Amino acid sequence: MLDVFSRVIKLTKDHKAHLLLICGDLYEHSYVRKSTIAFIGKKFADIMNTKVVIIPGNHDPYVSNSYYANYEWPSNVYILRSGSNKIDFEDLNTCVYYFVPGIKIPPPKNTGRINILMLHGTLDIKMGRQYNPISMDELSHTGMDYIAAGHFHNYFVKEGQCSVYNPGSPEPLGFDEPGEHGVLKGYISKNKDETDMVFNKTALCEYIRFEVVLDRCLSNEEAADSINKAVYALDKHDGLVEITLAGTVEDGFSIDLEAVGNMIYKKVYHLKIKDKTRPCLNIGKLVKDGGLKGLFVENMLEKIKESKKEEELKILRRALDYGVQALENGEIKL
Amino acid sequence: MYIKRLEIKGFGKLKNHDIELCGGLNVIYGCNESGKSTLQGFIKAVLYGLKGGRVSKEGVLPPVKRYKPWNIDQFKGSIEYMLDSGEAYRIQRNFQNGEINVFDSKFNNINEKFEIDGKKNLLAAQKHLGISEQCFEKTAFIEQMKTSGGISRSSELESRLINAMETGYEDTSFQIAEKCLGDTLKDRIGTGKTSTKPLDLINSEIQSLLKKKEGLFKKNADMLKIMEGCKALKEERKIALEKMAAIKGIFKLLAKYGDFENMKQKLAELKKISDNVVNLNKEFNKNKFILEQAEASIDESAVFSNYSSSDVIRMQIDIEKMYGLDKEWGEIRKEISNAEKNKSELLKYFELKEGPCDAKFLNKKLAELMNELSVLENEGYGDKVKRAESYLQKAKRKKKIFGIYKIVMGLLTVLTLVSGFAGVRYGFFATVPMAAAFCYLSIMTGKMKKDILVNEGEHKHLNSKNMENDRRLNAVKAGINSIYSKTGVDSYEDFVRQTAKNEAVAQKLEYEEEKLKNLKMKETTCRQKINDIMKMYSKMLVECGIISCPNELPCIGKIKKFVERINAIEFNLTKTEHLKDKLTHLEQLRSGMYEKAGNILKKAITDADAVIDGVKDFEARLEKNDTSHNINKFNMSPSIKDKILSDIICEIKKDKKLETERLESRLSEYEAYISRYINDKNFEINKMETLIDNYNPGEEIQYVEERLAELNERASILSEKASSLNIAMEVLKASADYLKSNFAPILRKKLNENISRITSSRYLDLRADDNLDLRVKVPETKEIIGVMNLSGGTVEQMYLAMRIAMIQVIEMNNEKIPLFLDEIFAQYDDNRIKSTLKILSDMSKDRQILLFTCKQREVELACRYADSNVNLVNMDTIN
Repeated sequence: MLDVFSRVIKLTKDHKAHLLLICGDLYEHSYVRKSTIAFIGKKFADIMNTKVVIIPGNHDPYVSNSYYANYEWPSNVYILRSGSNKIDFEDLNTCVYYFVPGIKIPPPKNTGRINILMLHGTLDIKMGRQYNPISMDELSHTGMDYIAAGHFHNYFVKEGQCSVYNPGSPEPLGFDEPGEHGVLKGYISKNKDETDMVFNKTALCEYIRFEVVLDRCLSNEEAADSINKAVYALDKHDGLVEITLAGTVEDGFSIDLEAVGNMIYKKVYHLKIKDKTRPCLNIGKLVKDGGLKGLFVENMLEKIKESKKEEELKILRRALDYGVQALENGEIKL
Repeated sequence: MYIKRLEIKGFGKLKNHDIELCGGLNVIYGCNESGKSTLQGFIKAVLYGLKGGRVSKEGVLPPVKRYKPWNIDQFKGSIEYMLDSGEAYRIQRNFQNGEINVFDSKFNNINEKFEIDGKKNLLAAQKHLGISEQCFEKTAFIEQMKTSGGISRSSELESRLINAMETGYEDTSFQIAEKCLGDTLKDRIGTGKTSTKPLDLINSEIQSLLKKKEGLFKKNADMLKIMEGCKALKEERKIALEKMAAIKGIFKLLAKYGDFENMKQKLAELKKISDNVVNLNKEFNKNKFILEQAEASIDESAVFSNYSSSDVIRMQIDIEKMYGLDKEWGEIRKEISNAEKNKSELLKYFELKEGPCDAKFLNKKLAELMNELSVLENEGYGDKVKRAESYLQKAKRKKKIFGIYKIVMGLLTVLTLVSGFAGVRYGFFATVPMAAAFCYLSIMTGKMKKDILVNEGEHKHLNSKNMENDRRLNAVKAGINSIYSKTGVDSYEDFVRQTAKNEAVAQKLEYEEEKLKNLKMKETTCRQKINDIMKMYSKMLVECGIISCPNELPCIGKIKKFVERINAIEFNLTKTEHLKDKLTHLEQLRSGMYEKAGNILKKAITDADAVIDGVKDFEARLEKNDTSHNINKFNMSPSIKDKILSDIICEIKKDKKLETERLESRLSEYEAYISRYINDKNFEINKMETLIDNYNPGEEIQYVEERLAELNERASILSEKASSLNIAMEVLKASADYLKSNFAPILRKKLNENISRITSSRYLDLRADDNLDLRVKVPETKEIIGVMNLSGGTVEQMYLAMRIAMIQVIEMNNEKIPLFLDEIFAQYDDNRIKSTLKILSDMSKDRQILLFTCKQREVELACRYADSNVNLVNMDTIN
């Protein structure tokens, strides 16, 4: 992460940027080490010709005991917050505003300036977890020349009555953040047509996730072979790869993930294998056999049929497998 | 299924028996110990095998030992049976070596078609009969006195009942499966009640890590709080530093004010210097004039300048001395005269006596003589002579005696010798002592003679000495007497008295002479001194013109004049010295003033005019430097809200004449306080920064988070598996309950049918609870009671009904199971025997029944009530 940060700073320096806008979540308040803050501060000091404007996010709130409030940042760093939510750079003819959560965005005082709004929140999301929700409609009435957004880790640009630029995180943080990660670099102008922001990849790693389906697999070698075929085409030495094994394995066989992992010859930065296979049961015969076993299988199938959620389905299928093992063998392979 | 044939090679007491059986009712009859039960046991043994093991607590041998034949080597047998489908099979079992073989109708060995259990038993009977050995024992196979035993709480039986609907045999046990699921959940995952299983350990670690995380967060929060506190301290320090800067500003201001005051002081000083210089110049000139006058006066009295006041003083002293000497000379003359008078008087005394010089001589002489007299008297030669004479006499006498003895001894010696020669015995022997005595005495006399000679010589000497001593003594005495007569005394004591008196007078005379001598010398010396003094000063006074002649003794007046002149010169000289010193001092003072002025004006000043000019310049500079207006311009930064400093500034602005010292003192105090305050803050800040630097919970938090993520994932997986197991258990139980609910009514129905028939409808409602315990509704009281409360026979009947009902349920879709009933009617009355036999007879229409009995009557009844032919096997006949 520190390397990526250094990359971003270098990019800023090489670009001779006037402004570096950081829309929140620069660090994790509860976890960050002082040495990390010192590192960040030092990097900011390396670009004294660039004004660094930071707004707090949900992970790095501006609270009284935060590093934002108490660390001695270099003089080119400006941290906006509630109560001090704008900064005017006369030399750049620019005014940067901070969208304070819960407070209406005031119109820009000086329309002659290039007015930039920085916000950290969820944009046009109605359900699920929202943080500082705001709509495009609301933003379009702010009169801002450029809107920089943060919070979501994936890059997007929302065009409409106004454009909202969300560069995402410069480095992905999990398998739920696939795709490229980086920063936006370019020029901001009062004339929207002249505003030109280009995505620059800064991530050192990439999270890749895919599924390998097995059919009545009965050995680790077979599973490894299937994986090797799937990853063959990958050209991601810096990739963090998660492979999910799905499908069926022969009844009585369970995949040894460690053994399979050792048989993968493709070199990637990190490989994780998940086993979501299920045993191949002769359901028809089991039901036909009747008796307790048959009835049990029938009842389980009923539940499986009724289930809608993937996770619940997995549990039910496993329950079926366990029950059959218990009835047939008197022991269970977990 | 029914058993067609039994071939017993060796089994217990049975050996080499072949018994044919029919598909219906078979009555095996025989006396006690005829082998009926053994036969029954054989059948079960062939079907299910024989158990080994240890002797029971009751002393019962395990079956494999119990049934081991007594007399023959073969311990084996076989059964031929036919299934309901018509398939025929043969099981051959060797109990000795455990070998079992199953053959089909074509004598194919079909062992591989059957499963083998954990104890390596071939499960042929289980498959064909459709029930396990335990179920078989609890249902179709009734041993003597064991109708009611082993049914209650039989999980095996319950499972079998539950699985009654299954086609074919499958050893499917609900309870085993349930236990398996439960054990898996409990042992390999963990439940809320366990603490050492994987999920428990993970959860425990998660809890521990959460606690740790909480602690680390708190630590982090503490650190952030410290950081916050540190920032606040830095703010306070900043304000304090600003105050310090303000203090320094005020100091500067006060210093400037001080400088101005200083300048004013310096101007005053300069003015003073200027006045002093003028005065000094006046003084200088005045003294210079006086000096010149004094020097002139000195020149005039040059001749006196050869002499100083010390000369004058010396002269005065010497003149005085001279007069003193003169006076002294007079007195000496008087004393000389007195001394001469005394002397002549003393000489007169001695004229009457012997010359004084003889007194001492005589005294001395007398003393000598007296001394000699004493010595001579003490010599004691008289006594010595007497002693010598006495000794001599004694010696001579002794010698004489010895001589006589010697002669005697000599004679004796000769005598003895002669006698010896004469032949007298012991003559020679007596000669020896005699001769020895003679010799001794000879020697002794010789010595004595010598001694006498010596002593005679000594005596003679002493005698002469004595005579000499006497002579001298007389001389001394004569001398002494002469002296006495000279001094007119008669005795020594008188002499001594007289001598003392003479000596005293002689001493006095000597004294007077000596005194006279000294006085004369003094007179001479005195005179000489007077002359010397006169000689010395006459020359001096002539030189100075005070006297004209050197021999003239200067009078007091002349000397006084001389002294005055000398003093005058002295005075002038001193005066000039003093004036010179004063002028030098004045010059120094003036130079000092110029230097002071020069220091103030910062340039060289050499005269008074320069000082005056300097004063004027200074005045002009002072006017320029008036800083009073600057004081009013001084303002402190509004961020510094400090009462003390505000008060000081107000005071500065208010007062025209500042007490800078007091203010500076107050300010210094406050500065020291602020400095201490800043130091304290610095210390606190350093302490906090050190704490912050040493706080590194971030890395640990990261580790904890990673570990928590890992554990949560594992916990999630295990929880999912636990959920799966729980669901499986739930569904399994529900399924089992459902099946139970299926067989229960059927079982009840069959049970009631059977008991009703057996008890001739006395008992109509007999049921088995969930544990397969029997309860019945008592017809009289309608009370539901456990069957064990009834009579033994009724209990047997009820359990028989139960067993039959269970068989009927189990075999509903399966193979018909033969019944094996050994002495079941032991407690039955006749009616109940009859009704039971009727049932059995009915049942024997479609199943094989083997009834073992030792009672002829039962055989008869069985034959009577069986609708079809009864196969009678007489064990007595077989044996």
